[in-house]
Amino acid sequence: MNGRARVLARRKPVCITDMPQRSTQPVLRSENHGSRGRDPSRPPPIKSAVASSSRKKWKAALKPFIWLAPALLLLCGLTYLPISLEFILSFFSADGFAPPKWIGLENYLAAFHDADFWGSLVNNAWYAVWTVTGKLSLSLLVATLLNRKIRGRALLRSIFFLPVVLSFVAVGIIWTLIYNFDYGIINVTLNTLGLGWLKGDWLGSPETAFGAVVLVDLWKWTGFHVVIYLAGLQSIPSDLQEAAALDGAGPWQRFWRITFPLLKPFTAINALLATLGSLSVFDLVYVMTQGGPVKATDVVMIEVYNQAFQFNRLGYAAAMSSIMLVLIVLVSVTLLRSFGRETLSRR
Amino acid sequence: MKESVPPRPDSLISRRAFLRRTGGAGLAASLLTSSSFLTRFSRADTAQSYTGSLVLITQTGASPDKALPKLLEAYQKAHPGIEVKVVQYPEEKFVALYTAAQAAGEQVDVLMLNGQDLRRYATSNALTSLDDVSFKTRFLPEALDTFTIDGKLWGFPSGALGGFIVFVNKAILQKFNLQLPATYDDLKSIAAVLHKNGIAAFTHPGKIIYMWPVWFFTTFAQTSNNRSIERTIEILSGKGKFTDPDVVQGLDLVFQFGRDKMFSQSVLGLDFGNAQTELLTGKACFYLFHDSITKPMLDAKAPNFELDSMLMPNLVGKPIESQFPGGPGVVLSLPAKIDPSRKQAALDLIDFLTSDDSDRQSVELNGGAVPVNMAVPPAPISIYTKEKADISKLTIYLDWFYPPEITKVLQEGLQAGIVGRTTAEALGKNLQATLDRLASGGYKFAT
Repeated sequence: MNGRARVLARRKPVCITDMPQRSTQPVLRSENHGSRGRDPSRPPPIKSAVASSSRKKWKAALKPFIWLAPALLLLCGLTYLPISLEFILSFFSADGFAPPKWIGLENYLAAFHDADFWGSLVNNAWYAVWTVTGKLSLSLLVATLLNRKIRGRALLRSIFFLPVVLSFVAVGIIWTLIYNFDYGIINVTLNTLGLGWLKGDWLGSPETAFGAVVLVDLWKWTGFHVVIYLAGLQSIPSDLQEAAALDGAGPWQRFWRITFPLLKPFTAINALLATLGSLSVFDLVYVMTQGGPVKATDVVMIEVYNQAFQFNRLGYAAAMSSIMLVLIVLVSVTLLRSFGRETLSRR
Repeated sequence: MKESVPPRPDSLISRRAFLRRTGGAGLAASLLTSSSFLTRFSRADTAQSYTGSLVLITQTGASPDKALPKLLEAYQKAHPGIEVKVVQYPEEKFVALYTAAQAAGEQVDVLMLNGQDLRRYATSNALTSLDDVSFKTRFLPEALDTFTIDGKLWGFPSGALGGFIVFVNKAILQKFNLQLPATYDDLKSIAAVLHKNGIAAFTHPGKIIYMWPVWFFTTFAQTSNNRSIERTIEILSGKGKFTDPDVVQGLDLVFQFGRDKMFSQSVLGLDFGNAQTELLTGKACFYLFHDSITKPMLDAKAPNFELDSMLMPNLVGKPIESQFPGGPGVVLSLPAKIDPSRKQAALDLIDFLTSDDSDRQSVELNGGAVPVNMAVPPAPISIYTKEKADISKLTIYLDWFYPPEITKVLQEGLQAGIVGRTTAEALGKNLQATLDRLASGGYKFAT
């Protein structure tokens, strides 16, 4: 048998019933794949079938990005572009009046030798420690209490969330008045109760100013973290608690062995958000103390603001901001890793 | 074919040449005689021909400028087609907000600056020199000298010369049969009596960090034997140091007030309003502050309050004059980057705002010991009359000479020293180290 015959012999016999049936309906020109007049009921040639399938794959892959494009444009334009420009500015000496001058890494070297910058970094770190710890513990406590069936629960939840929606400036001004030494409600109340010896210059004393600002931060943001914990508590199946109770576990045991571990993803989210907020704090401190007295509440963003807008050292301020950005990213990554990938993917 | 011209006798000139010469002479004569008219006409024409908005950036301080809105209203009535937009920044945030406005490329035509900021912007080439402006002869020479840097004039003063005097709640002194203090020991005795009755000797807006240097300017005027400006120039030029004994003594005197508990207990938490309230409500007896708050305090008509004033008593126990820091109120300048099409209109606005009529109105409404315009009399208030009699004892604020880095170190150091967190010697060393660092980076004091 010759080669051709062998090929022909290998071919599968075609059965008439395998042939695609011709449509009895009239076929529109557009459905007929153009003007070639090819029978649309027959499969297209192999080459165009591959191309068509490839185009479909690309379209399917591109589709999400097309929908995401407006948001991505905004994100790039309002976030990544300014960050990139700021990073470039950090290599220049710029005062906002004369053209910027390239100075390389001088701004970064100056920041590493700047005692005020390091002092503000230490303050910021302590600020983060106190506010994150405070927010997590307070919000968990409040959320646990608000998760019970108590009268007025909805109203109480709203009350706890109310400070979150107030503006930073309004909160700062209100609390500055509350802390006023002569007329503030705290000292006036202490006087009235015969506890005048406890009066303090809360924002004017270097010993108490830091704590006073931390307290306001906790007051403002705890409600936000309560909401996240509440969502977590409500996602825990109640039969787990019931089963544990039936087995004789007390309330504390149930909380510690069942509730708290199951809240780990929510704790991770709360911890991350609280940390990010505390490391980038500015408005509250600026309105209440402007970093004083005697730099007791001086944080990195206040230093950045002063360098940029008091001393017209825009490049130096950009360098400090870039250093802070790197630190924040490192802290966030470390935090996320410490909670573990499984914890976060569980949600 | 070129036409030939017959030769002309030497004694005669051609009609064309005659017309050319007489015409040229006539034109030159008319230009010479009418140049000022033409200039004025063209200036007026240019200023009048501009229509649109002019942006005036000013600052708000402890007391509002009551005259400015009325003056601007009058200006706009006289110049239809020109709208003056006023942008106000809080005094303590002015530098920050103006820097942001410049970086954003916002329209700025006229600046109403604090004198402290004028040097900063003049030496940064951010202002237009005003040497060639014709109306500068209306001002007191002392007022213009302050704004002359490197031999060039950078701004025109507005309002009145005035400074930081010690306001006294006389009602408190009368209540406890006390006299105005003449020495530091007198102050200490008065403070002891007041403390027993829950009253502070001095109130001060200590939260506003840039208010602290005024105390040093007051004490250094005494410890430098009334040569605080000369000594400051010497130090900034490298011929003296911040660690010199007179500087350290001046710093230490300020801290002495803190050690002797002369200030309100909450001094570092007080802003302008709180400090003024302490004086008005009898919680403090003395207040070292700018004379611009005289009228607002009198207008407040607080009960059990009688306003008086004095200069700081002799703190050093040697024969020196008690001087007070001050300067011309605000200064009007042109930014360097002003659009050329608006420059003349902006100058015209400055001319209007600094005219004798405008200054008269400003002094009437805002008060002022010594109006900066020579032809304008002072406001008829006893405290201003007293201050005018002492105007020769006014010394320009020293931080008008300092680079901003020195000012910052001084502000923070004084605040720290008041609560015992640093010493005068340490602050002096810190100031000198800052100056040395600036000098090694190319800083040179501009006289």
